[in-house]
Amino acid sequence: MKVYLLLLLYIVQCIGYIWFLKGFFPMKAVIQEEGDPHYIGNYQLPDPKFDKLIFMVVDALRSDFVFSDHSSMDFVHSLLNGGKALGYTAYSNPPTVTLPRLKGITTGSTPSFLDAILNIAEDDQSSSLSKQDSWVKQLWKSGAKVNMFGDDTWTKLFPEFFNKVDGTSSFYVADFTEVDNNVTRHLNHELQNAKDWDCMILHYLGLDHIGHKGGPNSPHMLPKQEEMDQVVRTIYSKHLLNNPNTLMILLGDHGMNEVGNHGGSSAGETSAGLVFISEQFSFHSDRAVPLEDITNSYQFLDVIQQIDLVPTLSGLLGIPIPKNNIGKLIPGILSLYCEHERKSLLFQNAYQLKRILEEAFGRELNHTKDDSSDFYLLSSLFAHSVEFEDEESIYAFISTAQDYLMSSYSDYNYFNIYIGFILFLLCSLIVLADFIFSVQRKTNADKLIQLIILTYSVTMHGSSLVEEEHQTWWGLLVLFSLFSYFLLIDIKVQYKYWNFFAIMALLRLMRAWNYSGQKLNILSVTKTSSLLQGSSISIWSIGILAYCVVLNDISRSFNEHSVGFRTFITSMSCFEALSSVLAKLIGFYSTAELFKIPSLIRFILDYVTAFYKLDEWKDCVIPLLRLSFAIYAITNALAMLRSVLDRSSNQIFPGLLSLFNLFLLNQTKLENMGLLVCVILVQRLVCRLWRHSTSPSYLFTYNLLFQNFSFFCMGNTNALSSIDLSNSFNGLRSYDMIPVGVLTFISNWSLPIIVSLGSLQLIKISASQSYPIEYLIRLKLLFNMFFYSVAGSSLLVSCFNLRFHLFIWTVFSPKLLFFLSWFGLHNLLVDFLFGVAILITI
Amino acid sequence: MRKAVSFSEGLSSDSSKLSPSKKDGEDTKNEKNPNVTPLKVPPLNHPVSLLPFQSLYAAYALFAKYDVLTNKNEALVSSLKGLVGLQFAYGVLILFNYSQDSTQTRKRGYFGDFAVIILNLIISLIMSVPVHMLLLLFGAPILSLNRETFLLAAHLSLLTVFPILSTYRANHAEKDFGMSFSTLFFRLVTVQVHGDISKHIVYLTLLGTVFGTWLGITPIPLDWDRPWQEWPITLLVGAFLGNFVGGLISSISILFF
Repeated sequence: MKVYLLLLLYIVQCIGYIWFLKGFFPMKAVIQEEGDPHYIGNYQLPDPKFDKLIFMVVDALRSDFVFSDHSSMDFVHSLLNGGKALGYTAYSNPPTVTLPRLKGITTGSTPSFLDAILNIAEDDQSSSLSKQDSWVKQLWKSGAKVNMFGDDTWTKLFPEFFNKVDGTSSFYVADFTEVDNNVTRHLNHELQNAKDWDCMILHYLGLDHIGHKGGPNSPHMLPKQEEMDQVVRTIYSKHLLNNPNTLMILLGDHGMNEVGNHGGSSAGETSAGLVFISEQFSFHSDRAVPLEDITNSYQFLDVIQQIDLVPTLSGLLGIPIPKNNIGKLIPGILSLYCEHERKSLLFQNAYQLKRILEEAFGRELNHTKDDSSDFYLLSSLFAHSVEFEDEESIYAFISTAQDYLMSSYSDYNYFNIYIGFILFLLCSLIVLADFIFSVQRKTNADKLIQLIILTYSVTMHGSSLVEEEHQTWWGLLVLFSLFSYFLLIDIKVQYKYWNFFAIMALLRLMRAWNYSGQKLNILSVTKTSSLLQGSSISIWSIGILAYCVVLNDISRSFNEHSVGFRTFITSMSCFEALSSVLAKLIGFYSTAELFKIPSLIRFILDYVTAFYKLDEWKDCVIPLLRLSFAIYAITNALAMLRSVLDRSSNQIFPGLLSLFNLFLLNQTKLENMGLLVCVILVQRLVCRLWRHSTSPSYLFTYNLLFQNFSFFCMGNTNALSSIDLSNSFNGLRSYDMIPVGVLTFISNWSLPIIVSLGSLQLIKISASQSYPIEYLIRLKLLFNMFFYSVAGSSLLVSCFNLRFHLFIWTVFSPKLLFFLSWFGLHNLLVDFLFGVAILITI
Repeated sequence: MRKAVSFSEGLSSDSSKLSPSKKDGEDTKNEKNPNVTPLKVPPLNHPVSLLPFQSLYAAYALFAKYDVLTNKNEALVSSLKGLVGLQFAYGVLILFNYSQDSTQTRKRGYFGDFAVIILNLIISLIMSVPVHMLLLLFGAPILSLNRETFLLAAHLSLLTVFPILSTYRANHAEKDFGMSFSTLFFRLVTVQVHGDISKHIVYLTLLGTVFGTWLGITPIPLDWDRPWQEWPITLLVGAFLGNFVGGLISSISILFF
């Protein structure tokens, strides 16, 4: 098949895949109408207990930050022990990312998976909640004035309901202090003029940023908790003490895992803290906080669903329960009411849930016998509670309804799924046929490659195998190294033992660098990167070493050119590296630690700051990064121009590659820079080992294995929480979808990109002597398509097959998205288009 | 490259020294003719009798007798002691399997033969250090679980190095197989046998052990969280079973093909 036909097939396959995703992640159907007071039989709703609400969200406030003996929130502890507050561990439904969690907290519904992606694609309009029913909307409808200070996700969700807004951006992760001071600075004024508002929403982001940067045990964590505690103390002493009719809620929208990230479903991520505070309360607590977390499961006090907050809040404030809520009233709070009032609140909750159940089943919740078991159970429970009108039976119905709705309320669009799947499968079959017929001579290598691809496809069907995919790649890479070395390669290289051992040692080092995955991640002490992070000297020396290696590469790769041009390019690159390093240095130290920077560099920084006419070092970060981008663009353009003008020099390819390596190094996390050195060394050793090898199949297999392996070496996993955003905003002042997307892709895929482009050099050195370049290009495309077709078909089958599996949203759906970026971005853009362009221009 | 060669020579003290230059010469010869002399299968009377049932028993004893699930380290140590005994018996079996008319020029008597077996056992135990290194290189945890990894390495060494040492007796290698023991050893390790290896039972047990250990890693990342998923247990069981399966395949090949 011709190359352009293959490319066409590839694009059709991509469309099929995206079509499948469209059916798999549908926009959720919601009841759009607004909440009128629900029908509750002969009962009267009780009078509201509170008329003012202070809703304080602390991003990523894990339960143990509030309740455990490591917490430094002493004032909250004293409130809890004094009965003025009621604490819970709130289960926060995955995906544990801010936007879906805020949707859950305000509407009471469980989020759809799409919300997690929209959280990253920030400016999408479809995430707005102004059409959906939520307690914010109900408050607004009842004429209450709602003020919001903090994370601008709120303003995106509710563009029109707020009276007064001051939003802060949630993605600028490096900032720990400003982002919270911007919230707190409003407090004094607002608390003094309490008549101007009825509800105040505060959303603090600093704690989450600390988690992302330094993990839950970061030295910044305890001071931040104290700061949050201080905020609670201020609000309590200045307002709550004198206003018993104000309710304050302190909560985390989600938790964080052992390394400070979130998005998944581990115990740490889903256990958020939740505290109700009011002067009106006089609860008796027999469990004095702080508590010790004996089982390390983050379960303190009573455990509730986070969405249970919604009906409870509606009851306390006397507003209708939002239509899509599937939370249930929190029993502990109900003790504020007398029995009759309790019953009426419970009935309101029950009738409201009945409405959703009817929507889900598509028919009236009648008590009929000949139905499916769930429907029968629920309708009989409901009939029972209406009949007896006692609290236990109503509560039994509410709980069962919630369980049912949380487990099954996701609908797939099967039409789209089938269309996409068939399209993908058809393309895969054509690719398969082409692969089988065009590769006639079957060697041992081809058999091994098929075995590897099949093994990988099989692992798509196990949840822990997807979670621990790095293990699969490591095992396959070891197998391939052994076989390729001992069985397949020409006999004359077989005595280069030390070469082989050096490659293996480097690969082993790379594997130990981050130990991604769920199981090994907990043993963080054994990771090379954490060892490095222990001392700033070691981490910076590795970083400088990486820069030296790459700059040396640049200087060497322009060997063919005149000395002047070579020196010019190298010194420009040095300048690019320097500006990037300075920017990283400023980001590395917090404001208080800036004095630790050596005095020589401080002098340079002072100079740069003066040059840009700025006040602070911190302001130099963006101009410095922009400068480094600009220099990269200039050197690249010059090198290309030179090769065009100077037709005799066909050595431009290694030069461009080494310049690009420097760009990628700038986009890599500091602690991962050593990995880049390892990759470059491995590439060189492999080049030496395979200089005479002529089978392109090895090269393609090696390319594939090493790419995937290096991706996981960087600490990435198949979980959304492992996406690293720390380099996504380099040189940007505000969120802009396309550059942020490109930078995120480049910084998360930097090693696979290097491997992929480096292997082109290998192809050029070893295989292009015996094969025409067009043949190699076609074979490479076909080979990669074969791999992605088999693996992708297996993944789609697995996801369809396991669509009701417990882990479908936390394990398999993220894998679908990661596969999309491998298949649609990395393979198409980097491995193929970019690669072909470079190969042709050699 | 030179380093690796000298390292291999250090393994067998009495092997005849080949100068590196000569080895390079051999290299270039191989290059011209890839079908170098096939490795001779050692002359054994009843190769099928070398089917390693002892490794099946060792796998069984690991759980039933030593109770590896409750106290892992002690069980591994006692299992290693047991394996030394079993492999000693296996060495005797290999010894009796040698054809009388094979080039057994020097009569050592029974005492001498047993001394060689014991020496081989000791060498195999020493070899567990390089095996440990290999395990580390191929992904064993580095800063933790060192004791377990070493015990695993000792088991593996006994299962692989010892039978090879016993069949290709170091001091007879030059005479029996036409090459120094170090060359022989490295050709075995790097799978350069160039012949029908399926009838070579001892060698297939070695390959089976390596492959079984490699497969043994697969259950560890699964989230079942069972006690038997702890670090060396699955690998060890994989090694034992792979050892037996390798022997079984070879036996079937000898008997039926």
